[in-house]
Amino acid sequence: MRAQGFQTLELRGVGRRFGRHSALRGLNLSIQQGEFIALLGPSGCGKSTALNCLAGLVPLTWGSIWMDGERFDQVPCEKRGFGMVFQNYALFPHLTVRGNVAFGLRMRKLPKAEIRARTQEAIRTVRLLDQADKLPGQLSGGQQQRVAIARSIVLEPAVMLMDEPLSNLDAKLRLEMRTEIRQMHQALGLTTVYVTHDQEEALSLADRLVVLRDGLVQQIGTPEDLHHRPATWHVADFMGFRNLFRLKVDRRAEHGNTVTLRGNGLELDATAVGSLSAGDTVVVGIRPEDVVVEPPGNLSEPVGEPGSWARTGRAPTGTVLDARVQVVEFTGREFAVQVRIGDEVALHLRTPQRLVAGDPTRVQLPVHRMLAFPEEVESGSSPWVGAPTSHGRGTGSPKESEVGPGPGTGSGAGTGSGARPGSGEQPGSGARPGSEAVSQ
Amino acid sequence: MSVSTPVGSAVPEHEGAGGWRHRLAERGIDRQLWLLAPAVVFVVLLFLYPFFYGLQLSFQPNEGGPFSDYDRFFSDAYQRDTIGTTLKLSLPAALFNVLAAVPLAYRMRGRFRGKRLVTTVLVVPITLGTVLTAEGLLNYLGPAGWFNRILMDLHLVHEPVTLIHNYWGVFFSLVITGFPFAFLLILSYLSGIDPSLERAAATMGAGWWQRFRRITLPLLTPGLATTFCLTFVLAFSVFPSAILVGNPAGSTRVISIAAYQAAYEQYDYPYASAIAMVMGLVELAVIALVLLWRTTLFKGSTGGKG
Repeated sequence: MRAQGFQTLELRGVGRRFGRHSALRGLNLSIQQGEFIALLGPSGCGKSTALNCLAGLVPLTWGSIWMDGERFDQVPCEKRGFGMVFQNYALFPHLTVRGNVAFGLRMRKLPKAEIRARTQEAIRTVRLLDQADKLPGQLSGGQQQRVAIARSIVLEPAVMLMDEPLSNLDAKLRLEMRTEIRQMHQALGLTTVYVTHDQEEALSLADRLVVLRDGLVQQIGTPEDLHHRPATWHVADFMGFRNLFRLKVDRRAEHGNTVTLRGNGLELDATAVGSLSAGDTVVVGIRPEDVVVEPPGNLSEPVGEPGSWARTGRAPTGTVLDARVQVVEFTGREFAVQVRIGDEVALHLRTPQRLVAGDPTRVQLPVHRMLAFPEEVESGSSPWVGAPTSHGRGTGSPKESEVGPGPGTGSGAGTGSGARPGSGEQPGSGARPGSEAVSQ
Repeated sequence: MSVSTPVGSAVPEHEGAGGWRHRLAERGIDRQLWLLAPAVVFVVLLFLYPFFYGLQLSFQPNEGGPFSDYDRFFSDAYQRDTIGTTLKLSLPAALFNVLAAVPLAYRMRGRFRGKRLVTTVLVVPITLGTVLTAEGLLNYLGPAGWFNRILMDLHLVHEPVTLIHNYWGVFFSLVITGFPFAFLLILSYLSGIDPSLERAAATMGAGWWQRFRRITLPLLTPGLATTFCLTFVLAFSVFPSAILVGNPAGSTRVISIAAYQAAYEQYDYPYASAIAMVMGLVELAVIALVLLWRTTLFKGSTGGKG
């Protein structure tokens, strides 16, 4: 019954309702042995619920969990053999570090000598030997965290579940522990499911990420997938697309995915993610790092003349706009700048140039970095990720069938620049094994 | 504390007084303590004064030296045995109340529909008062009461079982009034234990009994000790039900009856005071024992909201 050395753990349409509120709906995910999966999303998105369902702490309302083809969701929590690290660590306050670590081994009624040896070894792994006889209340946050981890790894769990384990630590310790967790995952060959709301943490740790919002999967993919090819603007928002504007599609290029957008006194080109047609409202986004600032001294030439950009050796493949510098913050290596474009639209960018507040400047928004997403009619629905529609969400029209004309065509070879959306399969197309988020 | 801290620093010209005040404030002594005054007056007038009055009265017997009333109590077996009688009633009753309340409160610690209703039903006996409870017991458990009639109709007994006007009547009465109290206290202690501890134990392979035995119970035991003390004190001072549903001349002649008789049948206030003091000492001794045992247990945080 206890899972040791499994191959795949599969969640099929897993959902959970609390009262009238659906905390999680239709989660399809297949986890391979040895993978590091991060469940990512804002608070209340259902990521902790998903973890608790996996741990067996919360029964499923819908769906099932399978381990190597055997139904697993009926197995009680204590028989699953999963380790779990809680957000508040949940260390037993009346037991010493040693007692906490040995607890699970005692429950298995192992011989005393083995318990002692394995406990000692686990405490050594997390470097707490000198604290082993203290009570949890006498330890610092980071040490408590390590006890919580030691307590789980000592049982050699089939799957390690972590619920925002670093959120109570300070920034420096968080970075250290992050590295330690990843190292431990690799060294012990663990399979880890990690819940976090910190996209940086998720990107740096995980082999694959599951982005959730309002209990629905937004996207499942590798960190690169999500970083370069967010499926919805919510994912983009989470992935550092700080500049997000609502604009209208003016026209579509005859071939390719380029669309021209209008609104707020702006006219700019962007790459369509999903099927867009003229008149649609879109949310268009770009990362501050991807905005290019005109080198100083070239401002005399009018917008539209490609001359100045040509001289710098960069191909002008984006919209060039006049801007006015508003706020300049020095961040160490570069400047974080807020400028105004169009009808007083704020645009955040990063540049090594020393800009001065109040000065005019000129920015270029590269087409392939400027992603235009369909604006959902109702929150929770998403154009590609065919989430289950048991609640009759919206029109249901922008579904997989319509992914075709967008970047989901899979014609990756023709898209050139590596960061072009859709140069790989989109989750909705169901082409990527193991990362499907298909409607049931 | 922090409110009055600026007083010292804002008045630099009175540095001496300010510094002095500041130092006191840092130890938690400041003007806000005056808010305690009404409560202190209340306690002094309504508790401490009567207590010390009774204490000094007990050393001024109508005849003999200062300790002669105490001597009288302990040398008279009829009086002395009331201590044992009372302990024999109150210790089992308190223990039963605590032990019976634990599983019930444990089952009810989570949230579920109808919890408020069940809690209310369990708590109602507190509000009824002893006399009403005693009246109910007399009717229900009496020789012609439902309970005995059911037993006889089922042919389980041939003659009515005597459950009132003896030890058991008082015991039941103590359970009915003491149990809700114990239940409420233990429920609040239980909800003070972080529920994620048991969940963590479950992920580590502990079944429900192990989780209760190894995690919840050790963290709950200090609360159980306190609950036991409080229900014991309530039971030890039993008076109305010992008379109404007990056998006040014999098996349930508890110590408070002895004190009552001294005060209002013999009008010997010093003797009654002495008995009351003995009563208090016995209670203190039991509580001291329980609390002494409690100090050997884990006392730290239980991680919950309590």
